Amino acid sequence: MSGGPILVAEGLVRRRGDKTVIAGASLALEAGESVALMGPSGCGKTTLLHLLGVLDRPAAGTVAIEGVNPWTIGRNARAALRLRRIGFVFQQSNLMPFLSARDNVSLPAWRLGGNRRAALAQADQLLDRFGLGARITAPGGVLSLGEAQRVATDRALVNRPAIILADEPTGSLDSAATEAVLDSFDEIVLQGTALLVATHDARVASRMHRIVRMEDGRLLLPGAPVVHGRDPLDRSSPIELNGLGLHSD
Amino acid sequence: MRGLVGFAALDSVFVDWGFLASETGDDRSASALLVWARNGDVELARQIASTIERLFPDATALSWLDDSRYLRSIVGAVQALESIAGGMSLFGVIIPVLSLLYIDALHRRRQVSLLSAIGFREREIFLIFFAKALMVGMAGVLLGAGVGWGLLGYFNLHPIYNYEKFVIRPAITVGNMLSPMLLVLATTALAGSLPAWQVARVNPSDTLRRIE
Repeated sequence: MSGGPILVAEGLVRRRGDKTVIAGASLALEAGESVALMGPSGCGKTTLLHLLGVLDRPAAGTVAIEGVNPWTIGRNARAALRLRRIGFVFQQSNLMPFLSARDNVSLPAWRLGGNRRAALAQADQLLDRFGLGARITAPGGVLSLGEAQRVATDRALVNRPAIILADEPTGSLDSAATEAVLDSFDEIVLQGTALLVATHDARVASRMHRIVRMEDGRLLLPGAPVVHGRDPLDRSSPIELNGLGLHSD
Repeated sequence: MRGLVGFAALDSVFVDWGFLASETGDDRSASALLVWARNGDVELARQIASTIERLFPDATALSWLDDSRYLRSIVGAVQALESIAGGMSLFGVIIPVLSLLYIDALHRRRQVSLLSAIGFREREIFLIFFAKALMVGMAGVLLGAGVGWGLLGYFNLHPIYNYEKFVIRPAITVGNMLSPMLLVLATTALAGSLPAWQVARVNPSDTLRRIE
């Protein structure tokens, strides 16, 4: 891990109607740090990811990405922030069904750089690394769940964002595909990207530096210590999972 | 006189030049000059008629529309009907285009939210859907222009009105073709801009968190 906090959220509150979905969540992510966000379904994990990823505005509290509060800048600047600094992997892969795998992956890079050929080359490289080299021309709508999720992961990575927010990224994947996705996460974390993964899967959580647990819109371990000095690719010994009783395989 | 034209044209008769020459013994005789200006511009025709009368005091010159009150009222009625039909056609374009694009926008909310999450700006998302509306409009305009061109050609070969030598054929001018095309295109753009604006402002979080 390296650098200081790249994302700092303090006292985030989000309400839907009368219900408080997120109740004062605070969290900091450092560059090169991976965090698992665990909790039962409906506890607010997805909503928190959307708040942190500037897709949704908190009713109270602040988010700062590399020191910038995205809700104090204009809409276009916010869109640019998402494009350059944040990568999303959604619960459902959410590909454009009519675009090919390479077009789906290249879309953010094309939008950012304005060079379609260069964006496609980047997409091909990523898809090849994920073992999808033979599927680059397949439309998003015909890919299997596992393939689609790997394509979506590539799309999140293509602009080399500072933060990756992944919502159950391996929920629909088999073991081999899960390993492939987690390996790619390890790689980008080593390169200094901060990673926050909402997951139910203890196996996925065990690959992260630390775990933050969530219940009823509250983070139970908001200040849990980071397991410093650990190489995320090194799984030779069990990871201490912040006293949750979970251990890696 | 070869006959009356119309049902109540009591103050006007139409004859061809040959008949007039044979009746009067003068192949250049006429009782009046009726002036028609390009594109049926009545004001211009009146000005020209007035100039002719000033230059040739013995001549009677009228704009084509002022020759007969009956003709004037018929033309006025036709223009009113044309305006009503045009208005109805515009609503006929607006409502289905609006519905079509609105349904399409609703159907694509998830994809739009995804574009927003990736980092596309609202203006860009608006332009994507607006361009789509324009393409729908353009396709309709080209199709309509093709059908219109065919009908004009047909009615030129088979005139709508053909009595003696008084023949009415549809006029094919650039203006006649372009003005309805531009009108329909503008209407489509107007109808497409509302769904495009709505979809550009969708909250991506609300859409993406729904399981489909």
